[in-house]
Amino acid sequence: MSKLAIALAMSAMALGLAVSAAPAPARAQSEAATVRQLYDKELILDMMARYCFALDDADGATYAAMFTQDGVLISGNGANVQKGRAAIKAYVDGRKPAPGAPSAARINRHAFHNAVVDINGDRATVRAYWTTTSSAGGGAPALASMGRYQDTLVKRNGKWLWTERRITTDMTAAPAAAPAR
Amino acid sequence: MRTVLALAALMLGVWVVALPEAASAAEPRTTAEIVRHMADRRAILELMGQYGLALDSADGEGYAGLFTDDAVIIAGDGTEYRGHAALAKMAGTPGLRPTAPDAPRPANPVVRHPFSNVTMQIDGDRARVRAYWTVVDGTSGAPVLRASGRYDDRLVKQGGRWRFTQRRIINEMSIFPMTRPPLPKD
Repeated sequence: MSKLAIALAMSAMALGLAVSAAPAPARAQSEAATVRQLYDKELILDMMARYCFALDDADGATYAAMFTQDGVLISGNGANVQKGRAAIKAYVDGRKPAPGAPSAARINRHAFHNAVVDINGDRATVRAYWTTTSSAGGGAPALASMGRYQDTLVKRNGKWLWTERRITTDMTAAPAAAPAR
Repeated sequence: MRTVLALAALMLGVWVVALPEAASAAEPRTTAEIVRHMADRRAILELMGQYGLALDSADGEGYAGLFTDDAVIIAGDGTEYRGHAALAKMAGTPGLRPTAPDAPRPANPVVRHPFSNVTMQIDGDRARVRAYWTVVDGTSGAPVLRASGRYDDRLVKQGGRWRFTQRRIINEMSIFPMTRPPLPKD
């Protein structure tokens, strides 16, 4: 080996050592990653709220756009499976009250609680509780049902989307024939 | 030469993949922007919390301080409360808050305003916030859900502090008739 080659190899090693020993850039990277992960959690929490608004407003387009193209919505304790945005949109649009429906129609308001969001790169899982506050025609509110969300999400082009949302009903005032959705 | 071309293509590919997608002007990108955004979110969530705490303890001044001086509250029945004095008086009067039109005001109402389902659009020093609210009435002991609805809020950050400029309260369900007469303004 020539002296030049040895010198080059040694300087490369020295450079490598210098890079790996420099703590400042490594820490900055870690802080940025931590901040990014916190922000991802915030984005998902905000999305969970928008999901409830879209559901309660029977806004199928907004609701379905929160899923991947081939996203899956599982509700009714597994009895009700919607695959893909088109099916999910139709399902939520179908909750709109028919024109001329009696004003005593039942209204439901969904909210989430206890959200635990786990981020793993561009993938995430969520576990949370949901409640439905319900009323006949705007009368007295009552806690009508409660259950769990079990979700998987993916980040595509900087935007989180559900790949699967599994909705389990743990308790409901509605009879089994008409499970809370 | 081929190696150089391949390397250039690879680097171009990496560059293209790493390009951020077109985003709204409000979306934070850098670490500093994200930190500021999350601090804004946290401040707004706490403002929403302070609202319920002040209202439920009839702290009229504390309540009015959560709003800008020219802020307006549009109550569920359409009544508008405008300006610091009107807000402080409304919130500082126990029992004035929603009750049946023909029922006597309870001397010591125990009412709680929790909120849920918060979604925010923050754009610089302005924000729009939507959320659900519930009124829990414990005046008679056991908690009873009395009413529920949504908030549709406009906020502004002035001097580093977020405050409401407008809070629209939408009643969606209530144990009382929804079309009750407006509460007195003064």
